[in-house]
Amino acid sequence: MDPALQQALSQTNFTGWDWAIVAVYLVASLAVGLLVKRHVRDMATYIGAGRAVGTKLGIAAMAGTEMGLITVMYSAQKGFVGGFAAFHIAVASGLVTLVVGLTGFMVYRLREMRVLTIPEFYERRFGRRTRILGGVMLALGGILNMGLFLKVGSMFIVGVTGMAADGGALKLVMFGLLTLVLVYTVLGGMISVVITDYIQFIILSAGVLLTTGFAIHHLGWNNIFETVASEMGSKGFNPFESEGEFGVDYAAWMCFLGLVGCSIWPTSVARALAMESPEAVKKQFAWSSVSFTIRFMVPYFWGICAFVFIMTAAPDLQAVFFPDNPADAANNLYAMPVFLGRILPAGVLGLIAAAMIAAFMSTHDSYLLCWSSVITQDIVAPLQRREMPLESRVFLTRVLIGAIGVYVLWWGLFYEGSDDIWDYMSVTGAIYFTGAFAVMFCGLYWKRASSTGAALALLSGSIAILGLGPVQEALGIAGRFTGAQVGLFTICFSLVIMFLGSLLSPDKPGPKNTNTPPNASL
Amino acid sequence: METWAAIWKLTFIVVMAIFTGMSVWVIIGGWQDVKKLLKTLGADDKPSDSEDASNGET
Repeated sequence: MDPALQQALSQTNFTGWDWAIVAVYLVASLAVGLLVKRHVRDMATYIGAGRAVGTKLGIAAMAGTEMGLITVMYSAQKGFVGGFAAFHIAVASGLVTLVVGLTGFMVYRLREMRVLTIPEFYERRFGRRTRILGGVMLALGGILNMGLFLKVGSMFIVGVTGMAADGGALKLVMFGLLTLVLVYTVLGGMISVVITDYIQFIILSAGVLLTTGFAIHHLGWNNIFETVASEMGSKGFNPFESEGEFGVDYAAWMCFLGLVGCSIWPTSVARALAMESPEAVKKQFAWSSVSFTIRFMVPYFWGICAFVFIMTAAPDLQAVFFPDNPADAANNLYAMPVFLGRILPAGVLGLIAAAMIAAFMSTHDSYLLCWSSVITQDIVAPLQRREMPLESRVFLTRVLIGAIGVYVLWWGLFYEGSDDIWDYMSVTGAIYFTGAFAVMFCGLYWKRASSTGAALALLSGSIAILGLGPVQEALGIAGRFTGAQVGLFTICFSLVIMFLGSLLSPDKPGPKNTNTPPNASL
Repeated sequence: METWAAIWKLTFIVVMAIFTGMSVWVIIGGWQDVKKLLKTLGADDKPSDSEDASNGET
């Protein structure tokens, strides 16, 4: 790590008291995971919490999952570089989630069908082969998508606590956090995830409100807006400005991401499928529109505040993040945690660190559980000639949780892409959700949708990987297309190919292969 | 630029106010849901316990 950055990171208000607050929280989380372990008796309770989650607990769990530390970090990065113009992403996400909640678009019908996972829907609608292909695409896009979670989350902990003075701190934190989250996800499954999400929601809410209040108090409400105006100009406010960070195509892509983020993304859908009734799902989504907005808007604001702090009150940080030679600039992901480490008092820093570790864990446990159960339920089990025993399913899911954890550690240490984290995530996620949107939308609302069209649409999602920086460089097309343009093209292409494939190769009349084992669709 | 700044100021204030109210509501109501969930899962556990016992398992 660059010595100037190390020096900058080491100036934090984090004390032993803050470590104590974090430790108490971590012990309490582990205790909850262990206490609820005894309720796990089958796959429905392990990955669906027995479908007995009430509306308010569902909202808390949804917020806990979707406002992860990775979200906080990549959003702060967007606010740091894009200013208030980044707020359009939060507004788009919230409005689209509200529409889904009011109309029940896709999620209502999915919950009515009582499926446990999205690929299970594929099987009921299009047959077993589509389920397996959908599971493969889902696992591929999803696991790639969470590849940088651990590293970026650990960067926050390192930055806010000032551990960066030790060069090996990042790796140690990555290993420690991963171990912690693996232990209680493996033990408790969705029940422990939902209950710890609730606890995490309490700490997160308090942390979000306190930190925002301190940031405004420290910098001054008007000063924040005035500094952005003077340093960034109108592109710091207007998301459609062509010379800014975003633009019309980016905003359109964000609207689509908002839709798939709440109605297709498996961790959100898993929350819907764990609810006690389809009506509860609609309420859950309508109310979650607030937390879907907050999860982006508050970190954007913190990133903006970090920018204002650096430009107006921290010349040492200005030299680190905005040196004369831009190539020497430090990773701007560190800007927000360094800012918080300097303005928050001891005690509050411990609370916010606990809140962010809570956010980290609630996202990780849900994602680990989601991808591992998809591989078990939707790829491995359907490929078995005999019905896969329940114990084997739970065991395999737990082994896969560990394996994905090891991958996340490895990918975080070795991936060298230069994309903004949010753009990396939207592109990798698009491998799955562009094709899945076409398949689910047509599968739920168009009777003539066929399995051939579904397979083609799912495969076409892989085009989205062309939006990734290292892939563009490898193919010699770097800079020709933005990730947003590739993503928008992919979704249009998936819809067209789903439509054409279904018309040209309709399914033969007769029942689909829906002999899903009872344990997989309780 | 002033218009956009005013829009984002208002949006931020409104969203934060709603989030504060919703947090209180969800924290109080969520606790009731946690108790209900554990009660439901506990009740579901009981028949299997007695079934195990009838099979001579402990």
